Amino acid sequence: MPIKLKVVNTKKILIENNDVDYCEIPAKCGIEGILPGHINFISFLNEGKIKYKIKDEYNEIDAKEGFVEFSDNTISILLKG
Amino acid sequence: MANLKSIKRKIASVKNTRQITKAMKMVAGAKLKKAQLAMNEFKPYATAYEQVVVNMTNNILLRDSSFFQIREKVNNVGFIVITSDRGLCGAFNVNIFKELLDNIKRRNLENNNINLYIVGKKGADFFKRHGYRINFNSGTSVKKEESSITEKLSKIVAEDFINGKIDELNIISSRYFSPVNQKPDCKKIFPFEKTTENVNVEDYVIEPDSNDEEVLSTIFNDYIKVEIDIRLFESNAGEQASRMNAMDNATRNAGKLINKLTLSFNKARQTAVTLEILDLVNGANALK
Repeated sequence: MPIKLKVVNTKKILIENNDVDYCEIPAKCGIEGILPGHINFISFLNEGKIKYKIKDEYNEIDAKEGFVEFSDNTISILLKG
Repeated sequence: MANLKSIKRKIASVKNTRQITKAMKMVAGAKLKKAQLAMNEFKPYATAYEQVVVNMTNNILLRDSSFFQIREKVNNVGFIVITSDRGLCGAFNVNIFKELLDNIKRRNLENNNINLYIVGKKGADFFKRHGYRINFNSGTSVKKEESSITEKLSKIVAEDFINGKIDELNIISSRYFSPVNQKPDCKKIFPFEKTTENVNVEDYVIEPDSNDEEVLSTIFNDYIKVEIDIRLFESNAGEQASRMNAMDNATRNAGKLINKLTLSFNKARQTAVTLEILDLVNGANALK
């Protein structure tokens, strides 16, 4: 079961995709990889890159400040600014 | 004839008013577009934030946080009221006042149990005049990029709630649905509702785990800020839309009034002409 990924900042929706297989985020305690079925968690973000994989394609976007919430196989990333 | 002159003067003044209201409508229209844009930009963020907070509130483990404390007896109720700075926007502000007053009446609140946090000059004026206690008065509701109203306000309400100065926090503002449809709405923010359905009993990992209380309070504090922000945007758009409609009506009414006055002006002139001719004819007849 793929993960739903939603990345927004205060201006617009950056990513909204329901078929993400894997996602990597620059969490406060280090880079964190998320696969489907990950435990629910909340974390702040460090500056870095959010990487995500859809099928065999890797994409990435920059992240500066914000936080991540994961529950129900949905990653919500809220970036500031 | 004096009557003729006075009607003429009236027409001129109504025409002037029409021009002003027309200009104000145009200005409001331009501002509305801008306000709508700002609102639509921010909306996805606010919606996503709201969803995250709902997810979090469904989790039992987080309910130790002070924002979930349901007080046994709700004595002091806080209201954040978002109004406009300027008038001439139809029933925009009045609807918001009514919503608050209805709320107070429905819940039988005593005057000294009500804590008002007011954004916007009109609201501050109204509630001051009616003798309510105002805990916070922003003075202005215009949202500027660097404005720190929301920051200040969200900090104050969060502190007041945690310190027990207020047992419940509501926010009353006008929600924007379309340029012709804005509705005042009251939403309870604190304490968070504990939903019984869909309760997520799974664990939440909070990182960094050394101070989860701090992580949570930062997220919840930010939530108030986002909630106030989106409502400020909506209220601003609603105000402009409401003003545009009000000014449109005023322009139309002025047009109608001008038509009426022109008619009576023509009638009066005709009467005057007829009278003069009568005079002349009478004079000529007398000479025969």
